[in-house]
Amino acid sequence: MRALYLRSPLLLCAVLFGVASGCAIDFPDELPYSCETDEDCGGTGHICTTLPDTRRYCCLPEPELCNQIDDDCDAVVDNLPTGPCATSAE
Amino acid sequence: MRTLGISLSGLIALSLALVAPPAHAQQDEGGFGLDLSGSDSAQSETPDTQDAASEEEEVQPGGIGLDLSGETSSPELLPRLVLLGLDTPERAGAAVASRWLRMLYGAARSNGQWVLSAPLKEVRQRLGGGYKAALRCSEPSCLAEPADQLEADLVVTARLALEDAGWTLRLWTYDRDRNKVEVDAVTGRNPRDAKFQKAGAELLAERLKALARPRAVLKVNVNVPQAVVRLGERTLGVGGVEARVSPGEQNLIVEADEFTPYAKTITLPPGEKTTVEVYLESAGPAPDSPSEVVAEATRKSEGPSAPSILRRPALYTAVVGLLTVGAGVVVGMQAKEIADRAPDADGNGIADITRRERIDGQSKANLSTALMVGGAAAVGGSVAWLVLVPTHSEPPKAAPSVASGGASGGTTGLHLVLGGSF
Repeated sequence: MRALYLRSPLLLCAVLFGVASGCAIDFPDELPYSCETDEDCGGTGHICTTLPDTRRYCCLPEPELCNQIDDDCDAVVDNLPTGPCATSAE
Repeated sequence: MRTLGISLSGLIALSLALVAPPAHAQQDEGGFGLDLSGSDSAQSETPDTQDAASEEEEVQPGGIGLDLSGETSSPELLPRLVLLGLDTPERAGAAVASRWLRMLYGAARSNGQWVLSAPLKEVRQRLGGGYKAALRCSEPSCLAEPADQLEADLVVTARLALEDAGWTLRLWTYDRDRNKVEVDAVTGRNPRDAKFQKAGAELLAERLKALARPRAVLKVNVNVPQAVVRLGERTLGVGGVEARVSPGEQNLIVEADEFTPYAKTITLPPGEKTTVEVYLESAGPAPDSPSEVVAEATRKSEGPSAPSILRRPALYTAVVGLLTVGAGVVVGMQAKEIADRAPDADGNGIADITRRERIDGQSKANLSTALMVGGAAAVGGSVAWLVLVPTHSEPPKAAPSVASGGASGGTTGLHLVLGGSF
């Protein structure tokens, strides 16, 4: 009988843990997030960047590299003054 | 056999005839022995040469010895009489005090109407320093206390003094029932006069006959041991009591703390025993509870019920834990709603929520996790406390509930316990 009493709280904990597990939330980290203004990007250096096709997304400015990515968040990809990308751009 | 009976009767009669004369002589010397004379007239013929002051202590009440007056029924119900003594301010009176005292004790000795309860020496010892004041007292205020000390219903004090009308014997008889003193007096020319002495004794006897009333016995049974029982202004005792009391209508009061007092006027027949059953009811909020004992038992029987579990902190921590889990679920649902909107539904390569919403959603998800884990821990611990502690302190309680579910053994017990827990 005592074992039954011991089981009941364990069972309750298991149920609650299961409920909590069911509430697991996954956000898509592989996509950029949309925005309208810089405030929608939540600070921390992110800015709202407008792509040529009018799409907006939150971007964290970094030095532009020749990597087919708009690293400096100026809506232009690989706009470098020198180097291979500059050459190819010309 | 008949011959033997006649011989025995004759022998008894002869013995009485031989015993009587010496007994009379002893009485003259101090009141001891058999008194079969029926008259005190012989005493008057004896010359008085005794000193009153020295002889007074030797005088004993006439009740000592064999009383052949014929009435000896229920002596415990007879009023108790105490003769305090004789005050003799004059020397001539003191000289004959012992004779007077013998006469007075002879008139006051025990009979079918009263009991002379204490000899003079015992009276003096019991009253101690207050004896002289009591002897010269003529008021109820100063006779009530000696009556209480001596447990006497009638107290008599006397004074033989030379007054304006001549030698006067005054008798003060205190009636404890009525708290009243009756005064009687008789005068004579010479304190040695036997007729004067006899008149004084007869006066006392008449007064005692008028005042002596059989006692009543009152027995009170009460359900509260600490209850105080009072009859009129007299406290009889605590709890169940049995006492000799004055007959007639009396106000009986029985009271105790936290109980409704009992008061009733009762009639106590003289010479009879009256029993009164008193049932005090608790003065508390439960009018039906008959006594404190029953009320206590009721409280004990209600101990493990709902009010008891409401006093357990674990119940409230469990509730708080549940509320916390509920809050976690609500916050988690908000985070879930944000997360559900996050995927790129329109296929433009950008998540459909802003980064700020994503940060808020993540914060809510973390908060939800914390709330649900903390709440679940609180609920689990509280339930464990609620379940395990009664299991240790009151193990027999589980058994009857299982048994009442049927005879199917452990399976039934499992259902009962789980159903009760959740």
